[in-house]
Amino acid sequence: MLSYALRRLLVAVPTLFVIVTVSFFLIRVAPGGPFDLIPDLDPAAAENLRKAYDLDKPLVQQYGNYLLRLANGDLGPSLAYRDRNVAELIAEGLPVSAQLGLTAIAVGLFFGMLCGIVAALRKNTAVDFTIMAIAMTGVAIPTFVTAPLLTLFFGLYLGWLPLSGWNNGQFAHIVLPVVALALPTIAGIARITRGSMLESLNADYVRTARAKGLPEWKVIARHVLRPACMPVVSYLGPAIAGAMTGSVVIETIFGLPGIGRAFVEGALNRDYSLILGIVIIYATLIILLNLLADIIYGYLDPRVRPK
Amino acid sequence: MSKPLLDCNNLRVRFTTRDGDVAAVNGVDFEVRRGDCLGIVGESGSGKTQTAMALMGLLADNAVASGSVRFRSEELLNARAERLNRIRGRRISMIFQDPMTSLTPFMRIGAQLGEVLEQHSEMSREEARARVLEVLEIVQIPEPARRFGMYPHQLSGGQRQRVMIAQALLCEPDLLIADEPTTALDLTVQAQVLEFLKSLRVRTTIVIITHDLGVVAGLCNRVMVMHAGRIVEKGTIGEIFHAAQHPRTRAMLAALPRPDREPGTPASAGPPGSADRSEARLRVEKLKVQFPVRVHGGWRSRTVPLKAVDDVSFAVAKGETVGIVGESGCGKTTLSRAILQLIGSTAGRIVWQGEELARLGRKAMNERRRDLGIVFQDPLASLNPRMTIGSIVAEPLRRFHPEMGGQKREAEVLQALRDVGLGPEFLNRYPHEFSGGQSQRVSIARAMILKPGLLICDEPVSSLDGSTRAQVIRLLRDLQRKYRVAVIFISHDLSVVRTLCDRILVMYLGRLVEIADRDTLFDSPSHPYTQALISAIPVPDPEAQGLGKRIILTGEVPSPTDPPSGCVFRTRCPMATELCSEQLPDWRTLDNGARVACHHA
Repeated sequence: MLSYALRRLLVAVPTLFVIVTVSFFLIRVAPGGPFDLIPDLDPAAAENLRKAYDLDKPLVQQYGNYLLRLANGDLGPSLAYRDRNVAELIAEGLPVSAQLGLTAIAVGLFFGMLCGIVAALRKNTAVDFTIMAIAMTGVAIPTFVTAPLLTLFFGLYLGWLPLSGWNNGQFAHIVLPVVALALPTIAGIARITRGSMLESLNADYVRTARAKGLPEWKVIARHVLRPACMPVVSYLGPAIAGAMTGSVVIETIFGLPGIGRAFVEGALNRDYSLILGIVIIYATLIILLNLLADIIYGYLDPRVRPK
Repeated sequence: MSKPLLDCNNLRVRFTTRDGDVAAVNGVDFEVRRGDCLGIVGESGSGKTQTAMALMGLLADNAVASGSVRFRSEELLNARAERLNRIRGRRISMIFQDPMTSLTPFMRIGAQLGEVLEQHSEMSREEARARVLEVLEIVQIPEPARRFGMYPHQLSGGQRQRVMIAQALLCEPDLLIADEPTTALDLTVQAQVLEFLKSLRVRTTIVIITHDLGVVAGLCNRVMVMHAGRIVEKGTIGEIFHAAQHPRTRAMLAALPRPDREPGTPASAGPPGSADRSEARLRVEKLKVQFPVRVHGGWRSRTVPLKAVDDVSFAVAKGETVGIVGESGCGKTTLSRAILQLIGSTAGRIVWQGEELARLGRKAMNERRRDLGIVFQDPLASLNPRMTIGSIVAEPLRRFHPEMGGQKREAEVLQALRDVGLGPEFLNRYPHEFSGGQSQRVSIARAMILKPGLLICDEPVSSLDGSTRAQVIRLLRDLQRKYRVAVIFISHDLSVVRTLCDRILVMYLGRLVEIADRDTLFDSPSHPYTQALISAIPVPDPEAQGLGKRIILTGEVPSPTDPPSGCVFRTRCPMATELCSEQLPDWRTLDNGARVACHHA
């Protein structure tokens, strides 16, 4: 198992390299530059700025320099926030986004699986149809609709919860954004769980378990739930990575200092180094979480266990 | 007379589906007495399995059961789960058809067996473990303590079915229901399992459900035959086999190939051997097909060759039917794919009409394909579900005779369908509207429409029921006579091969072990493996079962990635000596004309 994980991590190095390379040149293809949005910048000053950040050098040389710095663990200075460097910006934003995202995923996982399991066990009854109708709606309505509605209702009408702001992750402040983020996750996981539950309920070995004379709850707990979790696990890998690196919509609506907003602003400002930094973080998370998902997969099903 | 152990009265099972109600079981009455071994025989869809499911309370959610099933006077039908669970797994237990899918794949063997005892006994963990090991020993699982901690996929098919049987025996049930317990197993393994079930009869009452009258003949004292949800005939084993009344039973008996008796006329037009063997159309010379298999060990993984086909040579003459027989995994399907260049070979030559096929370019090879037809095992899976029957059968014509006009093409398609016994009304239908037998006819029509010189049939009837199987075999024989096509017929079923082939090749673990004319092979098999195969065929005759001595091979086929040294069969061979592990046997021709690769034959 350990050697398997190490081998996968070794393979991740060239993967990351390709991602960095492609992203580096792709950003540069976009028209405009980091200093276009500074009002009344005279051409000489702009030239000086470009020189200061090495942007006047040939692209390939810039790329080489970037890789060298990256190899030393330096993500470089931010081009838009000119006295900050990328590592600092990420260190500020990532914990906010990660806390939000992980909480939302945990909530989504719990309620999503619960709904999915209940719906599957009450297949084709009113309970099932109600849960699935709500789940369908949850998948269909985007967060930029649910989030303002939640704020309106719980923040303005009822006045129970603050409208926006982070306030160091105080509980009251994260409730609404977490709920808004979790709703589509609950819906998605409920649908996946229901489907895989129904499939595994039909398996021959479930019939065998019943033929052994086990009570239904033991049949479900021991023979049905585990394979039913597997599609959820593969859904979770990318979902967690996505949730941890922030949601632009949620962070903007609730005014949260997360990494998701930084990413979009960085893209709009042509803050090359910030974009690349966040891409690297995101890619690393995806790789690590997929590895984790595969290891959990092997735990759930011995047939796919890495030898 | 004492009360019956199980008394089933007017049992009915209906399924509610979107297309209306479907009756699966239509008023079935029978009883099982202590010490009985009752065989329930019928073709697929006859309601035999649903009868058993109703007894166990295992029917699907959309099933409605009525009537009465009494087990020692206690009503089981539609009983509450709590009541059933005191009986299921303890007083009545069940073995299912496919041991691969019927064991929970992510639970260790020990845990799966242990939970039966946890449920039905007061045993402590240690006592339960000891009991599980004891029963694993009884069902003859090698190294039970090691298997205890393994997962089902780490066991072979035969071992998995033994685990299923062990699971059923843990609580020493009064009644054991076995639903097609050997259908998914290889012939030699089937013989082992049947032998074991026979040994259980002393203590356990058994109900065995099967489509195979041969299985019933060796095992049961009473038989009931089901058709369309009803019992059409029941009686003692002797009555069923020698004085069958119902036409269904007679048809089933007649459809059975009798490996112990003189078969019908051979496949080719003349007597066997009439095909001129000097003029070989297909020659396979020292063919090897290997697949690289990754083996992980520590940091580095290495690849080892899996020898799927190893050093195989034979020839097929014009109009000759050659059977290739062997158990699953022996390489017979790989061999057929390699002959058709559907997979590449590692070494050796395949010569068709004087041309070496592997040397032809892709384009030239595709041209030769008009002369090489194939019929696959699973008829439904090998027909494109989105094409009509007409376009499926016409496709080879479009490819090789693009100049042909629409009318002419349709006439050819209709003729091809007529050849396989299908009328013009099938032209615009889709494969899913067809039964297994009908779709296999379509496959044959597609393969035969270009009048190929060679037809390869890869287990063409193994997914079909008895009577359908007999029809398709008859059809193949007629076509072969009519068009003088050379046929390679691959099957694990010796009795099918016997009715159809002139010459038979026996394969084991990638290698040929015997080549002989049909009658020579069946009358005086030379290789010990051939002998075991032939004696393992369940003979559908209760008297004949007792006669000839059965050779029950021990163990199962070794892994082809790590074959035994010397003769590949030596690990299971009753005649093996020191010499066999040291030296690969050479081919020898015996006095009766059979060619055999064995030191001792």
